[in-house]
Amino acid sequence: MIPVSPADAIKSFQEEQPIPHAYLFNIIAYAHDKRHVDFLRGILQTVSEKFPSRIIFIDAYNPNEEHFFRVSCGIKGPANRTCDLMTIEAGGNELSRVPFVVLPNLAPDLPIYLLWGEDPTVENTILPHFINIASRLIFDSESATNLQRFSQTLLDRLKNLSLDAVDMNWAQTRGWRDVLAQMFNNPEKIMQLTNAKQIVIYFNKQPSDLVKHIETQAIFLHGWLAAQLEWKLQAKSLVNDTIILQYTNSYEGSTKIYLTPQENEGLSPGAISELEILAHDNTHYVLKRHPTLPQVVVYQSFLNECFLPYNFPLPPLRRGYTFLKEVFYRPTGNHYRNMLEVISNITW
Amino acid sequence: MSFELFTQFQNPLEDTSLISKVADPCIMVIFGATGDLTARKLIPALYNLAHDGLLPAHFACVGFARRSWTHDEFREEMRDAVARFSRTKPIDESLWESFSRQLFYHQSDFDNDDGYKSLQPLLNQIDKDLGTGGNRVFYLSVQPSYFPDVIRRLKANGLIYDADKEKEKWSRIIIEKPFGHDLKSAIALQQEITQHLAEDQIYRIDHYLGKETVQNLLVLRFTNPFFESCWNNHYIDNIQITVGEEIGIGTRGRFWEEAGMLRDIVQNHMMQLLSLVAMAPPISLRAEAIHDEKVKVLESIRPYPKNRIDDFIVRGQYGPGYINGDPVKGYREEDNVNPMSFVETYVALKLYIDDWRWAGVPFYLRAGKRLPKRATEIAVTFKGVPGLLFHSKDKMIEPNNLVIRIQPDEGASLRMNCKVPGLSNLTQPVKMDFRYGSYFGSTPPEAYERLICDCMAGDNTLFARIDEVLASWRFFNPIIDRWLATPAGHFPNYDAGTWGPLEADVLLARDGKKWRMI
Repeated sequence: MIPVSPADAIKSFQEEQPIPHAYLFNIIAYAHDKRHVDFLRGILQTVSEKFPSRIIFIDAYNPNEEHFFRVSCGIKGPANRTCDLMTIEAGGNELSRVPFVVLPNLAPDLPIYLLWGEDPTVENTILPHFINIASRLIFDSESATNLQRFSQTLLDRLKNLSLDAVDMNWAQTRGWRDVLAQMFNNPEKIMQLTNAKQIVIYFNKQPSDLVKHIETQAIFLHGWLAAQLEWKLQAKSLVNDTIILQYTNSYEGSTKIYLTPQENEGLSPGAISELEILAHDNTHYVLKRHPTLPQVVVYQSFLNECFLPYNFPLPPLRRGYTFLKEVFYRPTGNHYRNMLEVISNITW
Repeated sequence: MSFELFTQFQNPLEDTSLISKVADPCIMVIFGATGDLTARKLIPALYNLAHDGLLPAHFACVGFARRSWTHDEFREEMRDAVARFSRTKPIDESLWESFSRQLFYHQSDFDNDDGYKSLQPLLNQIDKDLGTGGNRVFYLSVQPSYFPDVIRRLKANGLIYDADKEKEKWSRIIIEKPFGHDLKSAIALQQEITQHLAEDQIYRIDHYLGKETVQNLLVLRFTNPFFESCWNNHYIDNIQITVGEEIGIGTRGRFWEEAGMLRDIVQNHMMQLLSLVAMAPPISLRAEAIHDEKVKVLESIRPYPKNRIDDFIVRGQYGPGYINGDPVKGYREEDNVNPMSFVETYVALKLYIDDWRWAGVPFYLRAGKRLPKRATEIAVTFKGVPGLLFHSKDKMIEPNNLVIRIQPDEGASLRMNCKVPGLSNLTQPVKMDFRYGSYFGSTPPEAYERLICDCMAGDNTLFARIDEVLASWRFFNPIIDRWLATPAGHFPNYDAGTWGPLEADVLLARDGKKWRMI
């Protein structure tokens, strides 16, 4: 036995004292296809490392059985911050048993978050049981097959629900929204943006098993601009994979928005890589995501004059803790609803 | 009310339902940049703000000090400091590469006017290159005796702006405690620096206020009505505030001989904790509203009778002893300490706040070096029950207590009584415990990160206002005078590794109370 000094022994005694179980919230996660099962397992892994919680994972995917029901329990997470994990595998006729297992096993007095790996606007056997008790519904609009119908239905639902709805695709656009809000932060600059001749939003065209609708974040960002700057849609077209939308703005001018896919290996599918803004006075802005740093580099020029590039922070939402804070703590806000209003009136 | 307020620009791209603080573009000039504070706290704080995306897009930091370093040498030194002291490890090389390009160095003595003259063009060039907009934060990480001279020279060389003249850009000064070494010097210092600065340009930093757990005090008190309804003399028996350190004075012998525990910890940090614990709910979370309530507390502290100061306050000095089983030397054997020093390393005091909320409730405060463990906490002990039920002649019902642990093991616990299972009516105190570390996975921001960010955003809520500082000095000045006039005759009076001198226990025993065993 290697002798340790009394001070070291006492220190390790103090550090190894057991930490009591702690919960911040309950999570009820649901997925019914393999890619969403894998996706949600990844998120829950990150959750269990960062936030102690009671997790109930409903896995409705099983290619080999039609009607099945199994429950297993365990503890997940690092030793100093443990989560309870209950996994319910259920499908077919057995799915209706799930709420009766979940409801008695929620940790009392704590928020309940629904992590839904399916289009929440689609009728579902078990969602109605949870939606009335949940304080937050977290979903991925990627699972929606029709974005217009999804937006319309979600808007209707949100009017009648008291819970926060968090769309992970929308959360992914937060950094760019903050950059634009910081860049265009006075009446003159807002006028420049509102009355822009043209805005191009480039997004990563590489799909993945999970992400098929790669244009969603770009649609959301453009929809947010249209809603907040009160543009009115005149026309929409598709040219060589680029979605083109023509708006009139409050200065009686015309603003054209291009949603353009672009190869970008370093980014996740659908992530926005660059914006180009041509203002009515011919000021030209290029906002480029830095290849390695959590920043956007802005190149500004006007006719024959170029300004030195400057940076804005772009919070790294792919890192677990920042994304989770965004998804679990940030309230929905009116901007999301406003954006949904815009895109619900456009056929995609 | 001006018409401007009604027509204030509301950015349609900002989601006002989401509250966030935006720091303005600026240059931070750190005076004393080669010192310990810069390496251990300030640059790591700035690096972590950059890491979290909270540093303004247009930002630069200039180190101002005597050593003849180049920009690159300063950057190299600071890289080592960040690698050692940052809360996020390992250092992110690509982030460091970008961040270090925002670090500059300017060599000069603090009392050399040429140094200030040549600082201006450097700052102007940085404004042009990095878009920092002319905004300035001057962090005075120097001996307090340098404050007036540095500020005067900054003003004389146009580096500090007149607050009422400049609308497009701002300048602010951050100064470290202690603010003065007694009431007279604090007033004199204030008079000197306000010749050159408006009050809202002065940020008196007390890093305790930047701690998450200290900020949590207000959330705990003012979002949990069942606490606030009992937060008064009807229900609370006494409050103990402890700031204990197991370390000695280290290499700060010279500083400590001038300061002592009263000036270093009690007059500032502990008074801030006291005011947050005892304040009434503010009318809003605006800085001024919170400061106003804190000042009311400090101005309500009952002064000690001049001839009975010793009945209320105890001083101590550690002698040799053991910390965690290892022998340590006494204060008088430390480097740069007078072997016959009468400087205190321990203070315990009792005070009363004479207002409707706290009349009759004793507050017991203690702070010491070389105590058995490091612990900063606030313990609120509630009054006991009348003893009509569940009591036995041999055992009193334990009173409830709420303990807020500031550091380490940040969190809070509530002690209450439960029945012991079985056929008797025996009671057992148990604890409900909340630990930050168990609930919130990531390391919270360091105090300096929060405070620097707030200063850049123009929010002085977490900085000390001058009337708070002076109210505190007014209370402690008679004690300082008394101690100067009557050096302690019996130092050292506690062994390192114990909880302080016997006189501190007697202070509470006279009231039938004991210090909490932490």
